[in-house]
Amino acid sequence: MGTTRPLAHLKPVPMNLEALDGETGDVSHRSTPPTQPTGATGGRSDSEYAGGRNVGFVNGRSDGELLVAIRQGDRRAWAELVGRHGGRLWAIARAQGIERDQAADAVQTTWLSLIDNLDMIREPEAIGGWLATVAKHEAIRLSKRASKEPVRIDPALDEHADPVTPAPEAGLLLHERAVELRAAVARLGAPCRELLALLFSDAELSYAEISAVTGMPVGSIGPTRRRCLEHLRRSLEP
Amino acid sequence: MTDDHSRHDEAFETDVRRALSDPIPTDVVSQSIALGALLDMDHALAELTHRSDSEDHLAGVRGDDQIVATLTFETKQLVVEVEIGKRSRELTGQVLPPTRATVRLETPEQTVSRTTADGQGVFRLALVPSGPISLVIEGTDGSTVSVRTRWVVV
Repeated sequence: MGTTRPLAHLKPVPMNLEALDGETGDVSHRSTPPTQPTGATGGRSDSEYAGGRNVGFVNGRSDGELLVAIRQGDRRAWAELVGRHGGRLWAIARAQGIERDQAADAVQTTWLSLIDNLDMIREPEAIGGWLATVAKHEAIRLSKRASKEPVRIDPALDEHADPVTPAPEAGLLLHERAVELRAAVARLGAPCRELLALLFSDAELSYAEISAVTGMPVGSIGPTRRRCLEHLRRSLEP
Repeated sequence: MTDDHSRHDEAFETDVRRALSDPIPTDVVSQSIALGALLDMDHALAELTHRSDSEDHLAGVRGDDQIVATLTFETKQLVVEVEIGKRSRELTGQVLPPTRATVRLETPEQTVSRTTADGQGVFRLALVPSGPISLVIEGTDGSTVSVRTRWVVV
């Protein structure tokens, strides 16, 4: 420490998730920035993702308008953007098979990444797609971390389970059914697991959004949905 | 028979939808909204241009071994080099060219600690928390340095 270093020429870094974890090593070897998603994560362009959502704001502001305001420090615009996209980011993170606390970290990291990259966003109206790609990258990164720990496959340890409040008879049956189904979904291959999580998410992603996140052509989502549900059903048969 | 199938399908899908219900927790939403406090136009962003996590090369001499994270942040005007002991949670940093400055260590929730960089631009901080952190560096002695580092996790 202490030797004078020549100032390096700055390279633009739209995404810098490696900053968030030393385990990925020397940050000077970076992966492709999220505005050009690679085939590895199967993403489509951010604009394709955003197309379905960024219309019809009667009195509200579009994503691009919100970003302009956010760049000026407008915290209400920030809160509006969070409200608009947060649910989807959560769903996308969880669809990678990570735990709730990891998904919370992935979502926080995604928003911090936006704060640090505000001036470098090339397509403000497609910010939804940018956020989705970052969230998915981060969730995948965290999922690899988790695989170093023992995998919980015992449905009895399902984190949705509430061990404290005893459920009435009918509620208990529903609860057990839900636990069984979640365990079965978790055992499906990654494409079906991700697709079902996104299709049935509370965030109600459109087929266009699911296509952008997964790389699956919109036309194949319906048939794949049917096949995955069939797989799931057969996996539950005794 | 087709009706039976579609009723079974619907029932099954209802079960799946209920099982997969997983709305974003409200505390995640509030935490995300709270990040709005970090919108900062007052400081230039110092990008992370190098990071390595390695065994402390002085480990043998000191008789301890700890992983040290070495990070380099840069703006067009300056470089901030930082070393953080992952176990000791101690941070040593230097601003180059040497700049007298106040240095704040921040998490998304709060300013954790403050110190000053000396005549060589060297500063030290203890008890660096885990989770995302950022250093805010503001020049004293009339310098116009006003920089914060990209959020990193150490």
